[in-house]
Formats: sequence, structure tokens, C-alpha cells
Amino acid sequence: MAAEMADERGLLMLLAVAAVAIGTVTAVTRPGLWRLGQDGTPAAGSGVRYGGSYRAGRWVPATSRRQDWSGFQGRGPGAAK
Amino acid sequence: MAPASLGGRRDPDLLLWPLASLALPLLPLLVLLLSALEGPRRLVMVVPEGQRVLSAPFALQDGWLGSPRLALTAEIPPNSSVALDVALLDASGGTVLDLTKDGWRASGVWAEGGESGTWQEDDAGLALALRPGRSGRFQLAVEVQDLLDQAGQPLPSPVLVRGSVRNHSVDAPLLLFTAVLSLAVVQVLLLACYGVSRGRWVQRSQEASAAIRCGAGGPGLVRLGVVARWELPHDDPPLGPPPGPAALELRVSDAQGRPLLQHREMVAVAHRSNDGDHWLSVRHSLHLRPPERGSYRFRVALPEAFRLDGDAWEIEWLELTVEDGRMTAWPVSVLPLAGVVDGRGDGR
Repeated sequence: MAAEMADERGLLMLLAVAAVAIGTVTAVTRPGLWRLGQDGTPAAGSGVRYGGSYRAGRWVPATSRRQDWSGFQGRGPGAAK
Repeated sequence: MAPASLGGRRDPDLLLWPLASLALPLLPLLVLLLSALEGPRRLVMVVPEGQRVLSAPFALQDGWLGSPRLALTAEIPPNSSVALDVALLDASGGTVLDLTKDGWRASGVWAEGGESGTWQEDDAGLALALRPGRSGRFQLAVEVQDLLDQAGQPLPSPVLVRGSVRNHSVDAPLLLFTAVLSLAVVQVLLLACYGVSRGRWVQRSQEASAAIRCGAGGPGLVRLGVVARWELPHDDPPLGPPPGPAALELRVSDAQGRPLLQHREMVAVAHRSNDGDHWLSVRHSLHLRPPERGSYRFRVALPEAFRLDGDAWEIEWLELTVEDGRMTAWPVSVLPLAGVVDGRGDGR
């Protein structure tokens, strides 16, 4: 029984080390981050329109750039107070 | 990590290596702190409508130690909107990225239920996280289009655009999640190391004494937990101060009933009260190391009553818990099972 407990403790320690290692390395290296020249465009927040996108390593401008922009997007005072 | 006592002798009941796991959740937080210490490169541009303004050149570094992050915020008047054209230019002036940010800022007054105040919302910033492919110098070209007021009329004022460039930003939410997750695993690990026992027996008595016979001994310590409660026979508040320390008596005998230990020590008695109820309580732990695995009887006794200043506290219950095979993270006083001891608290 003591050996089973020791195995369980070792497994938990290994799990904790693995969680920290994987999470920290992924957060620092960010392997999924968009790279300049990669197909598409980087992720952006709300209200961002790209004027083109990368295809096969080349920036290809969009044919129609401007869109209707209605201006204010605020939800009003209920969400702000 | 070898278990050791304070005197330098090996103590088989001390388990120190799990304590090292407490440092694990700190590692992602340390990375986050180091990343926050990186000073960003500040950019400031005053952009009149219809004019293309270039920022100062800045470096974007490629590599795996964090990643570049560009942030821009347009400071526009209240109740206005803007279309901000932003281009990222490489060292030769060629456009490598081109986007438009539709920004707005709104404010007003709210009134509800007799209360009132002002509110403000805006979405006039953007942030880009990307890798440049290879390190180099870049510039931003910013142009303001359609700076309009609430009625859709053009506003003449130039727009102040503030930017920041960091080259070693990290995924902060993932680091925080990693810290929380690893802390949860570490807590389970510490519980598995210090909170579990091979065997556990509980005896609750309506008197001021309780006894348990059980099989104990082997690796680890035997922990005796004693919890007791005294109450007044009426609901009136106590008249006098709580009593001083009480005598706790412990007797341990072996399988043949031969006494192995008679121990007596003074334990603190605490006065508790909650929602009009008053009681006295004792909560105490003792540790033993049986010489070998076998059948042992553990009996503890506390005073049946306390009588002082007109208060007659009577025992309500006493609970004895025996846990076998407990490991500890720090040295504890261990009662010897060799003879008769009459001590006061230390129990060595």
C-alpha cells in the first residue's frame, strides 16, 4: 500500500511539473502565433478590417476596401455605469 | 531529498520533497512578472485628417522568447467616431500589413432609481500580436479617415494616436491558467502526502473520555486528535472568565493490556460563542511512534466539568481520532512509548 501511495505521489508531482512546463513554454513561445508572410492575417480585436491578406507569402490587397461604417457601437449607459 | 530532523539525524516520518512543489505555481507568475518588466517602446503621432503620418522606426525581433505586440489607441473626442487606416511598413518602406480600425467613443448621463451619473464607452484601440519572420526595423503609417461627430458631421481636430511596441510579450491568460491549474495539482499532492493515513478510527463519546483499540505501527506516525466541547446547562451567558488550561491524560497499552505510556499535559481551553450560544472547546493533537506494528489501545481523558464564578460547564462530547501512518512536513513532538511521562505540553 505504501508503494502505491508513493507511486500516486510521484505521478501527481510529475503531473504538476508537466502542467507548469507545457503551460509556461506554450505561453512564452506561442507556437500558434501568426507569422508575417503566413497565409491570412493576424487575429485582431473588434472593429478591425484588413485591407488584404497573405497568399503564398505575398500581400494581396482586397478588391473593395471600404465598407459601410455606422459609427457609434456603444451599448449605452446600462453597461457603463 | 533525504528526510532529516532538526538535529541532523534522519527522521523517517519527515517528507520534505513535496514542499518543493509549492514553487511550481510561482514559475508562470515569475515569467509573467519578467515579461511585465520589459519597457515598451512608446510611439506618439499627431494625425490630421487626410494626412498620412509615419511613426518613428522601431525594431521587431523574431525568436521564441516571447513575441512582438503592437498596440495603438486613437484619442478621439467624446461622441465621435473615426476610421483609422494603419499600415505596417518594413525597412524598405513596403507595406507588409494594412488594416482599418473603426473606432468610436461615446459618453452620456444615466439616471435610474433616483441616482444618476455619467457613463463612457469607447473602442478606439487595436492590438496586434505577430511574429515578423525575421528581426528588422519597421514603421507604422497612420491615416485618419472620417472623424465624425454624433450627427455625422466632420470634426476638424487632429487625432492623437499613441502606440507601444513590445518584443517579448507572453500569453498572460495562459500563464495565469497554468498557475491556477498547477496550484490545484500541488494541493492534491500535498493532501496525498500529508493528509491521508493508512488507517483512521474515530470515537465520539458523551463523556469526558474515549478509547480506541486498533492496529497501528509501521512507517509514519500515529496521530491522536482530541476535540472536546463543554456547555452550560442553561442558555444564559457565562458569568465569569473562561477557565485556564485543562489536564489531558493519555494512556496507551499494548495488545496484552500492558501500559506503554501514561502521559499528562495541560492544554488550552478556548471560549467560543456564536448566535447566543456559548461553549468551551479543546482541540489538540498528539503524535506517537509505536515500536512495531500491533494492536494498541489509546485512551484520552479531560475534565468532566469546569466550575468557576458560578458557571458550571459540563462536558457535551469528546471526539478521539486515531490516524496511523501519517507523514509530516516539519518535525513534531513525538511521545515515547517506553514508560511513564508527566509533562507540560512539549511531550518529548
